[in-house]
Amino acid sequence: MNINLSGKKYIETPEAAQLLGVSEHALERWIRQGAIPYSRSKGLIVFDEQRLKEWAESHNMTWMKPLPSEERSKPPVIRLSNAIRNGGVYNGVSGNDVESVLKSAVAAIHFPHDVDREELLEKLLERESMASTGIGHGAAVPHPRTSLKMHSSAPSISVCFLESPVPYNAVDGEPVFVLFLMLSPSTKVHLKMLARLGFCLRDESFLAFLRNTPDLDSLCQRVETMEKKMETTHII
Amino acid sequence: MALDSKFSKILSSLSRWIFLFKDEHFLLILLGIPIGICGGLAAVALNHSIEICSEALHVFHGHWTFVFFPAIGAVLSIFVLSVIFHEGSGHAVPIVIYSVLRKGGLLRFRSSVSHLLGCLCTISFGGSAGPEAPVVVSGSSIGSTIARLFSLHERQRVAMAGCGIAAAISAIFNAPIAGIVFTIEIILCEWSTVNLAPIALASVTATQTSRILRGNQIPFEHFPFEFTTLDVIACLGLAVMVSVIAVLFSKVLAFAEHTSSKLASNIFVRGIAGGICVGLIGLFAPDVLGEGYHTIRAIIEQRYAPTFLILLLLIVGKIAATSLTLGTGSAGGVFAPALVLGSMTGLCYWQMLDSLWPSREWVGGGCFALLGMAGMISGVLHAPLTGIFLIVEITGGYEVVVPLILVSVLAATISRAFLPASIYYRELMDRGQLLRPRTDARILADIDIQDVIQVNLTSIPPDTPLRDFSNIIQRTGESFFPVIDPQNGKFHGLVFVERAQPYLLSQELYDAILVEEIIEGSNAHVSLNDDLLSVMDRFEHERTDVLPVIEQGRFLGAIAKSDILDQYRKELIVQTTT
Repeated sequence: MNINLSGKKYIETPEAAQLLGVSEHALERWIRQGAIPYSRSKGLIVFDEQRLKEWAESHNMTWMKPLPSEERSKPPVIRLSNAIRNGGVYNGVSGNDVESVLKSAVAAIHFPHDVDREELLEKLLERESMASTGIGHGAAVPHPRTSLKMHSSAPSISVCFLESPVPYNAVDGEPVFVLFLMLSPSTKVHLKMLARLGFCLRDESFLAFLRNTPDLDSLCQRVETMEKKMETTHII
Repeated sequence: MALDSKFSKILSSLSRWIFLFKDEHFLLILLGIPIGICGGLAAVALNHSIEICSEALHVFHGHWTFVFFPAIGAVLSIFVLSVIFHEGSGHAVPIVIYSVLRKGGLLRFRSSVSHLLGCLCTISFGGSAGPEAPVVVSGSSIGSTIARLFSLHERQRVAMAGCGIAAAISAIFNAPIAGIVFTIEIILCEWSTVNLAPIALASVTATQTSRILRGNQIPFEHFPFEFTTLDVIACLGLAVMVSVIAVLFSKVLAFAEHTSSKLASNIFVRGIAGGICVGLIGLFAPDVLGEGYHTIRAIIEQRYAPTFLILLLLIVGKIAATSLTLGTGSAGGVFAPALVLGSMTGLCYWQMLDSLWPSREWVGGGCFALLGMAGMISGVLHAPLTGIFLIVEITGGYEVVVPLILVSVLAATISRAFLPASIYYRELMDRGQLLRPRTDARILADIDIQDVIQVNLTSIPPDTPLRDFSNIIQRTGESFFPVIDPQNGKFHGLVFVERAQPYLLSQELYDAILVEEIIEGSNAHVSLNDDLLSVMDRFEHERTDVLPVIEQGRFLGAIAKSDILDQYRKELIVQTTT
């Protein structure tokens, strides 16, 4: 609660304790000892925020501004199915090695206008040259190492079914038949999506389902049901 | 128009005065004045009362019935302290030091009278004790009470209690600097600009009050001394001798306090036994009774010259009488007895010198007595500055200052080598409460478990399978979890993610292991009232970073070493900057 007296912003003990990063108990002791500047308003101990901040600075004390409300509230749930809807499904992507497959995938996908295809391809190849993104069972998750400069903050996954399986240096050595090309606004989102995708690809029946090259809607539906399961069991 | 401007002028000057009054330093300095007056009055009142009562009882001196007088005094003193005022017995300065160091200078108002009355009974009936400590308690209690009336906070209250202490010493000895130095060197243990100004003002006021009431008399007259280099060198020997007596005095007093509480549980029996012993000593050596100022005066003026052997016996008698008086619970202090012992030791040393080198003209015995007094105060109280300034001021002479510094500093150093804590600090040190400002122990003592406890932890039932546990870890991201039985609330222990890693990485164990099976074996914990010093020991001993807080079998939360470090740093900053 803020009490406004003569234009100054006053805060009470709990908020002051939070700002200084100490417990209320410790703050109350400092008040008792007279170590910290405070004033009284209607019998209540209050702190002039500006003065308290100056005190904290002169004492090398941390001043923790409370997190902005949007970040403090629960982060928005990142859904794999939404990302696939953003990215789309593409069939018959041609090529006979990693480079040519990625090249034709980048060419085929309908990206937003601000995505530079050449830069993206370069980044994807750079990532593949470091370690293959083939995560086994015939699937690969090509992605750039650093997130691209994108206008949209929504992550996208473009699912590309290949014309024919391609050797991809995958962990299990199996040739790859499907690419999940991932573009994410941040590493955090990227890891979250990767975790969910990994969970799906561990499922034998889902892999069998993928082998039948499903269309966008049925793929999304299937992913949605699997995600619901993850959310109710608090797995990811 | 003219009226208007005049009115606003008055208002503005008035508001400036109110502003000054609101300023912390100005308010404290202002409050120093009434505390100084009260402290001065207390000192003069006690001094006069002792004089009057001793005068009235003087007719019995030398009579055999006087043997019982110290016992009567002890009973009265203990009755006043324990029954009427419900106070602790014995010499009282440690109480004041404890209050200043640990309770923000909080003292009860009744302490301003109780020790004065108790001490009056002790000294006027012949008990060997000093009136300084009771006046110090009285002054600091007045200061503390005034601070409470103005609802000052702890630091300011400590300054106000310090004002009372300085006032007491200043008024008794007519020595303002000694009052300030005593307060800062012995009681507050720190110099700070906030404290100094009000304490100085209280000291000055108290001195002036006592001068108005008693006249500006120097407590102990002396003749001018001529010091030669050889005299200064001879002072080295005096320092050694004084230290020996100081250490002996401190040890005997400690022994008396310790054994008397063991021998008799009833405080009155203790007091009577001690009193009769003192009376018996007094029968043979009446000079060891009372506060002994007249003896000091006689020695310095060289009106008093017993032989070397008798002086030695007197020293032993004074040590015994003082230990028996204070060690058995009578009110009083060690300051005046230390001065008496110092003057006797000084005279004793002079006689020794004189008989060893009779051809040489040594500086007077009175001078060595003064140096001995300074040395004894330094040795007994571990406070060389107090000794130096006290003697300089009460003799009103600066010619002794060179040997004075030498004796005081040496005596303090030598006795410190044999006694880790002075008479005032010993008790507090034994209780682990001698926490000087700005030290590690003090900072740890100020931090509470409540300051660092983590309470919003995710608790898990003991029969949770590892599979569910791994899900909980993923969901919460915490690094340790309390295992609590949801049925009866019983706390089983903490599980640490880090230590459960070997099991967590092998998925085939997920259903084979329950959480209760991977709880760390140790059941070390802390309770809310544990002090941080012992908690840190437990961290070291258990080689862990987190300990649960358990109160009456209930889990309240956990404390982590890292949180303590964080709070420690903040506490250090707060305590070391003003």
